[in-house]
Amino acid sequence: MNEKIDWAACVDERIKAENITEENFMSSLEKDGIEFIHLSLEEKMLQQANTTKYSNAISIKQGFAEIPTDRFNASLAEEGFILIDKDVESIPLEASTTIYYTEVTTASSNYPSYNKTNAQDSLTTAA
Amino acid sequence: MYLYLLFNTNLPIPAKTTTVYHGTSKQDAESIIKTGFKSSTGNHHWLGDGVYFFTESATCPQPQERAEEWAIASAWDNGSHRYTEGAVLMVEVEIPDEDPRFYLDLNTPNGIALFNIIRDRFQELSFATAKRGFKPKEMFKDGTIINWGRNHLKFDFSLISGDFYVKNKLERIKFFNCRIPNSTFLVIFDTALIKSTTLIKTIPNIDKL
Repeated sequence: MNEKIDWAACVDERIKAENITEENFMSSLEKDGIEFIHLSLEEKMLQQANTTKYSNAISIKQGFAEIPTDRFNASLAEEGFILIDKDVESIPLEASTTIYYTEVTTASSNYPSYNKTNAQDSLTTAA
Repeated sequence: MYLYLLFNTNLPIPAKTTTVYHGTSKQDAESIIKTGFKSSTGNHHWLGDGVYFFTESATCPQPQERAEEWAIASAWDNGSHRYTEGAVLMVEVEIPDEDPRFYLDLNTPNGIALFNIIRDRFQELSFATAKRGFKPKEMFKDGTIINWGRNHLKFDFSLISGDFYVKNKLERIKFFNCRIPNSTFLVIFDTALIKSTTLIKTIPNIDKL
């Protein structure tokens, strides 16, 4: 099929034909069983932290500049994230016997990598 | 004669078919042979509602093996096994039309363009009602968006295909995560497109594998 189709117009026509508006969009999805929640800024930050366990705390923090660092750290700690490093503010905890830690970041890198190790080893290495 | 066939445009164009594979328990495979497939439903599925098959592509050159691995992986459930005998079904599927309004192939320019527009509109409407978010456990919205396109925008997606990373049993156990795809799904919403189903392999002692 090589026909050039204006998909945006196609979708917009259907939105109009089905009378989907900002006002009824949420309620129509909720009828399908999709649940929405009201999120505070801090809750959004935690949501992002929980769904990006393998990325780093700095990049999450950059997306929530309005939240003071001490509140950011405290909220993550309450969720089970362990803070061990001054350069990178948190490490996510996946299981009781396994933790993640980061190598010391270089000045040129804002995006350090996490290494998965045995808890004892990582603490020793980090020290 | 050949020229007649070539230029007689009134002749019906033979429908294309493709062979796809489905991994499941032996018990469910036998039930499918008797009564047919039932759609999986729910927004958490990769490509929304439908019956899921592995299909051949550059990403997935051995779909039968992927279906076998899926039968083994889906038996495993956090240390126990939901079933101990698996099976692989080979299925012939009719591909009726390449128009992405019916066959949404996310590996084609038209297919991904249509999906991206639906996603854009879904986001615009979601974000317009600010201060509301989705439940954190619902990590991926692909299935939600496709179901929205089908149920609310009335797109008649009979078939959908797309590439995903699908874990085998060991990868599940070891928490091995990747994003570069290793599988191509063909998802069938209109089960009338399924022309034949054959049990081609049983997998005994899955709990020992």
